Amino acid sequence: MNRDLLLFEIDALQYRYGCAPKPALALDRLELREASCVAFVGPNGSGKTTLLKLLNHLLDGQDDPKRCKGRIQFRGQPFTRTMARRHTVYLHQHPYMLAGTVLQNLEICARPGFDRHVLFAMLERIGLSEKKDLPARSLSGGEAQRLALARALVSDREILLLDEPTASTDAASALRIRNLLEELKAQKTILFSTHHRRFAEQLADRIIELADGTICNDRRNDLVDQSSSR
Amino acid sequence: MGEAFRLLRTADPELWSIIGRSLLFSASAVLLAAIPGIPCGIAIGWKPGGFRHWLASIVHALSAVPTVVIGLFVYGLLSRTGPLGFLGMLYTPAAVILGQIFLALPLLVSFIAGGFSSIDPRFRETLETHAIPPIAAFSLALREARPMITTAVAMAFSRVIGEVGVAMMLGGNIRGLTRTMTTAIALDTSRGEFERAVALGIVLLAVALVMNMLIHWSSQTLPASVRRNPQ
Repeated sequence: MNRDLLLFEIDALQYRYGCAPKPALALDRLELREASCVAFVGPNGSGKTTLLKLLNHLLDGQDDPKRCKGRIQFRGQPFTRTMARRHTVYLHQHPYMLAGTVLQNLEICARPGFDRHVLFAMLERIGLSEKKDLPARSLSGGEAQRLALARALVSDREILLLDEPTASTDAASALRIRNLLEELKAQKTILFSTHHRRFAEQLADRIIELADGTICNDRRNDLVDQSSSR
Repeated sequence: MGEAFRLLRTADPELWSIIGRSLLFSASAVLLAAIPGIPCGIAIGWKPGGFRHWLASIVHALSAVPTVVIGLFVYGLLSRTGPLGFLGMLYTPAAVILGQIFLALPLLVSFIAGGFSSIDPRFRETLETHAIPPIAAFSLALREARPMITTAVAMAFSRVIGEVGVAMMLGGNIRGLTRTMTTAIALDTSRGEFERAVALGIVLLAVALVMNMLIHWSSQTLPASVRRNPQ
């Protein structure tokens, strides 16, 4: 993947939920590059989830000009639902476990043709191989978060949209997720939201701060590191 | 009352044939209505809003149509001069079942759509973001909606087995052919033969009780499936 190529180009994007008087997100301009790892940081209601869901074409009314204005270009073309399904996958802050076992959850979400051995290897990688036959809904918050990440990986998309990937996880699970994402940075584009500035600084190569649905700060992580070490 | 219990205990053949026929007609109607009703309910409740909202309102209104009006409508279709008169279905078990399908279908669709629209939106989003193929998505939706489908089927069965308008108008209350519990109760009461009417009433009450227990049980399991996936 070429890190200089533009992945998403967002211009004058506005999205509002239902009949809300104020848009949940209002971005003038945002460019996101291939193979980057970008963190969106900000308080609740700052528009992080809305932005990630828009980049997965997951929101109601995304094609309705009354609710969603502006332009999203994907690799130079208008971003469509088909493109979203083919190239991106979104992870909820609190993932929804489908009915069935841990292994079945992986099988359901795996791209057709995925080898069963790869699924077992994935379970090993996320530390859930011993729980493969347990109901997925019996997993703890951290385990569910790891399983959701594994589901995203077996769905085999090159862009991961992660909403608070370490929410409701303990320190050990958070570390495991961070290490996994660290490995994935070389192969995938990772766009994630987080409340934890420290987590963003450890993982992302660019940090974008959102407040009230707009970008209030956008910087490379090395600058953030310098400023924080001062 | 004692005579009614004696009729039930001594396995009066006519009484039990009426009970069996009622159960058969109602079960057939609900099962046949469930074939289009369940997928339609899921489809309407899948993504609430827009035209689906209007569709849900229409179906909800249809579920409250009086049974005699449905009977009248189907009678119009099946009568000799009606568009389906050539089938010669009027006053047959098939006519009763057809009428009861019209009775059960809106109730099934309305309840499943209403229940499904209240399912955690992350379920639909999870299926969408992973681009789960439609058949697999439908199968997962069926699993997710199982408690509300059970409730909807039980409610539809309760409504159908307890109705009298459709069975009377389309079946004609013919002895040994289309006589059901409700039409038999109406006839026996008008004749002053209260024993059999009371015996059938007891069976109807028992069926209603079992169905309500089933509805209560399945509605208890509904929030549990959602609780396992906290927001």
